[in-house]
Amino acid sequence: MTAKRKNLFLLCENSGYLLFEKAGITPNNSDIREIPCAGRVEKNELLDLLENEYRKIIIVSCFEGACHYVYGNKRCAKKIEALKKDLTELSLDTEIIEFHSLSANMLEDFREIINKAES
Amino acid sequence: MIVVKRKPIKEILEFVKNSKNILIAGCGTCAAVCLEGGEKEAAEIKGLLNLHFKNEDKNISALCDSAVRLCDPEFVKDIKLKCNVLPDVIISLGCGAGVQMVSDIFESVPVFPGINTTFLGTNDELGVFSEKCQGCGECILDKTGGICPVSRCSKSLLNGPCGGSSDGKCEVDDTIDCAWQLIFDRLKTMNMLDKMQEIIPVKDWRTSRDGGVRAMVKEEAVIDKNEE
Repeated sequence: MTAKRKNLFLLCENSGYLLFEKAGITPNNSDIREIPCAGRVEKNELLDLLENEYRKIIIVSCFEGACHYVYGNKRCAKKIEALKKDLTELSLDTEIIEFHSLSANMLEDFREIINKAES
Repeated sequence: MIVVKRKPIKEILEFVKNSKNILIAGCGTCAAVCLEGGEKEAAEIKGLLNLHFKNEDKNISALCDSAVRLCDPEFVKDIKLKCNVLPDVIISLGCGAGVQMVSDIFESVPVFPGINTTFLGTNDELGVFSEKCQGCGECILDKTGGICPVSRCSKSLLNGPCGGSSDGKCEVDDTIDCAWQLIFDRLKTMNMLDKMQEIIPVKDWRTSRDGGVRAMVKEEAVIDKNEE
């Protein structure tokens, strides 16, 4: 029997990962990866991870207008939007990828996201 | 560069739906710069197709590979050499020339275009491209301040604007700059407005598509291997 696949959190080091550290949660069903900027995330890498390792990927970038690399969060949001369009065309579940823009003080929002993924 | 746009993923799926062994071939030159058909995009299409087949419980797998250029036989032969088994179908992400080169090299394998070839243009900023050349075979940019009226004037006029130019915009679409306004402004900047007085003679369109299929041979690069 194959083990149930986990979720993967890709957390921007300037927002999402800071929230993860503050939240003090130890996830059982999710792996956490700190990334330098959400804008660096590539669609082919996400698809590779979804194909081979994870059931869902959740990206947390900086808050709108407050990206450390200016447009990284916007770039990521656009890539995810385009990817979801392709997933829809192929009748695949678009919920396998989530994208959130959070600032480092939006702890409750982050807790809600991680608790939902863990449940 | 040759500007390309990826076909909708559903159209690509239609090409491969009856195949078991699929190869997605990316092109590392123009298609990669267009962010439509390079190594990353080949991997992306592979991932999308594989997720789809997995979701449908089908035992089909897509693989991907890419070459520096799909329009050069050496690079395409490299892709073929790396195939342990020939694929049932290939999706080529090169321009139309690339698709045909892949087809020539793989011969027995059906090759389908994963992208649409659109025009010869420039990469103005990340993700923004505009048409700049129609490959007419007889360049006149020396006479027009470096702005091509063949490709950038909607009517390809060679001696000044038509009557539809208004406020520097084309009558076809007011988002298009009038090429002859651009030419005038550029020549003025270069202090070469006298060029506007030169009459460009009737163009010989035989060097363009009107002359049939074109080919070019650079003699100094070609070696006759049968010559003693």
